[in-house]
Amino acid sequence: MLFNSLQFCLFFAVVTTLYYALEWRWRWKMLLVASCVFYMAFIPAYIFILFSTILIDYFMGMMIAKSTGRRRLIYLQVSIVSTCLVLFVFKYFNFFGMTVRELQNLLGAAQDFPIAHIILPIGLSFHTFQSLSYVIEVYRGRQEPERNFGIYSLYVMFYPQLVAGPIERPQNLLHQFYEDHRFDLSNFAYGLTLIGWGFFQKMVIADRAAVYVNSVYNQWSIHSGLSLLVATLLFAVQIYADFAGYSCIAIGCARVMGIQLMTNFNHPYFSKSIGEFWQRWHISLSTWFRDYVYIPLGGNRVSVSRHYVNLLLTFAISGLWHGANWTFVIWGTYNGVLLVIESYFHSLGWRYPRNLIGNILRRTVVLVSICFGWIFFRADSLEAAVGIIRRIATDTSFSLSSVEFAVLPFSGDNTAFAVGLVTCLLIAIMFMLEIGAELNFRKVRGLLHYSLSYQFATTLAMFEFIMLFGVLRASAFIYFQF
Amino acid sequence: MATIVSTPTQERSSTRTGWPYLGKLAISAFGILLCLVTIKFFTEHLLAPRNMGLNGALVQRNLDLLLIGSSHTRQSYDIRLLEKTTGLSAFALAYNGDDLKTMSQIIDYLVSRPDRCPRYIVVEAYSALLGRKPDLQDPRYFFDAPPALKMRIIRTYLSEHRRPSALLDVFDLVVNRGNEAIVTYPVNSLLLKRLAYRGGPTGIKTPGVSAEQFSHFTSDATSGQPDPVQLAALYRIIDIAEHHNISVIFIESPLPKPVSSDPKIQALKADFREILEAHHLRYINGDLDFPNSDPSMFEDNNHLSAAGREKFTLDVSADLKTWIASLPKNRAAAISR
Repeated sequence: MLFNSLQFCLFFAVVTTLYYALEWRWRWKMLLVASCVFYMAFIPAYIFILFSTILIDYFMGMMIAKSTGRRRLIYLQVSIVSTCLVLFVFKYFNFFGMTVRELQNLLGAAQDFPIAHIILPIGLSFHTFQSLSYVIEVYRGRQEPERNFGIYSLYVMFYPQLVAGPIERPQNLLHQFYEDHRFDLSNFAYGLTLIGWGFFQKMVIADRAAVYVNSVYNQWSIHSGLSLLVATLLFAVQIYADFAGYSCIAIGCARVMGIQLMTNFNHPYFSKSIGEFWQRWHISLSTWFRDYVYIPLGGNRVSVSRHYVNLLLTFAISGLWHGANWTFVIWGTYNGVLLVIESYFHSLGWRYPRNLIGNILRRTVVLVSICFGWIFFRADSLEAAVGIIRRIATDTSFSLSSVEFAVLPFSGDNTAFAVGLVTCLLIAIMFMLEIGAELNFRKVRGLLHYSLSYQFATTLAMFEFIMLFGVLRASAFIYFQF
Repeated sequence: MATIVSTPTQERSSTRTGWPYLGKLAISAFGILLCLVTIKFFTEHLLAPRNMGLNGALVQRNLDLLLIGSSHTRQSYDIRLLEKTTGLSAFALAYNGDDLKTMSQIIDYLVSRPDRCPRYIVVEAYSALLGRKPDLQDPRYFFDAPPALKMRIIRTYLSEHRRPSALLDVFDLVVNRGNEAIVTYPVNSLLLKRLAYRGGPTGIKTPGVSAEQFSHFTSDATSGQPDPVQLAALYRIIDIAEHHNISVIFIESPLPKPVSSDPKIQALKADFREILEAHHLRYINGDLDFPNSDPSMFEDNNHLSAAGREKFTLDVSADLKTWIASLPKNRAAAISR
């Protein structure tokens, strides 16, 4: 069930109404049933996979808490291995198989490694990481094991964040299911405004950009360098608006019920460094990798060379998490390399000038570096990514007809210019509001927080924009495929 | 906007229910939307371009030749060259995916405006469309149509697509489509003037395809049997022509040989010819005497390239002059080629 569908609107209305109609003791049960219904709307049988991981991690959590010494580590390892095995089988088996076949081909051997026909369960990467986070926190003694199996199940499969995060920590989420959230109009209105903003980002910005990006990237070899450059920049907008929009909707749906999820995006494209970018982009995943991969490897409290290796390894694994393709691994590693380079220059004492030009320069460098990485993220293959980069770099022709051709993919007909111009205007509106929030302009913050009338007006405006300029045909969120 | 602001201020005590808030939000949202959409419905056709589409055809006075069809028509004729070689004023009224059903609606509307009705009409006889289920593929047709025609389009669409999602399609069409053109009208209208000459393409030189691409062309025909609704529309066009004394000729632009030789296309062409011959109407098969094995003549599997367009326009100009010369005062000539 996609968020941007009538089916979900009805589902959300029913669930929220029931939430407040029921006595608080029954609410978590209703939410659990609703989350099961939500998950089973995709492929019903896969609920068994989800419950098997929930069962294993629930019992391992209990066993870890009851045990001492080496046994605790063994139970933790069982949990990690079993969860990762599920992830490997459903997400990485074919990637592994294809890689082995290519190696076999290189060695002149028969390419007989089996390939399975498996559909990736929706949200697998997200809920497995959320489960692992729970077990690890119990092991570290930072979280008491959850004894109520139903509540623990709800923690893993709470429907707003089940399929694409934010990846919650047990300390933040678990206790909220025990609380009696009374109806609060400001929470309710704020939640609705967040939902409205999320749908604006998804349906008005991301889906519009996607029309152009898909048209160009899916047939990159027939497009000019200019079209490919525009498509790359639009993809940077698309992936941000798509994912941040989803997160907003998820956070808003929870907030309407008085449940607070963590912030997942914090205006990442205004970052002054790559390090800062990764503190602002997909915060729940970045902090997960920081706490459970980077720091256990030693973080930066090791030798310089080992620190760099830790960065590269962490980001390579993060890239692999995003998708079973070498393009994602390269994208992740590339971001690791950027951090290593930044860290190296920082250690040499190199700094940008502390003036306006320096500020603009450092932000531009970060933006260009990140956008370059998105080429690998979006391209279907390594060959395509290299081809796109080569064409952008070498096809520098700029004429009136090349601009006309570059505009055409917005709609494929003579409305392309109008569609392109409006798309750019809407993107500008989104970023202007984000700049306002970044610079802490009171009026922009007031759009959401200071009074119900502001929230009312904002939600109303978002609705009109979505109806008039949104792509109303439901399309999946990008991060659903992960 | 979790990314824009942090936690909200608790500015008043909680109320028991959110229904009043939701109610006000819903009424305001749908009320504003209804006002905007109503204004749009009754006025957007005034912003339609005047050098293409239905509005373009309606502003023409004393138009000699109207070419009506889909993108197949738009890409097939160089209007400037056609006017030069025939000595007639011409206009291409073409929307992407325009089928016989849509064409019959447009012709019906044009004949209700005798002051805007052309002397001769060239109807696209693209055989693949005869076999296709009717559909509204190009929302610009709805955008350009005056309110009365818009209502007719909606009624026709709903009667042909009896499923719940048809209402969503209509909602999409009425509320969501065409808003970009309205918002950017001052700038966009200037650009559109440059992009088309009397409905036909201008400026962009579309190249031909490679031999390899050409050899992989397949036809778009989904069936070798005429669709009943399209067939009824064809008879309606014939009927309009006979009752309003309009001279009509049916022309099928050239198709690439791999497409044209498709048995479904051949069957549909034969059906076209048979029906038109029975009603003594002229049908021109553009494949004859055209180098449709030459990849440079085609942009894709059903559109001519700039070179193909020029060649075909010259060929068809001669045929049109011959046809017009042979017309009796009140009836169309009756020979099919």
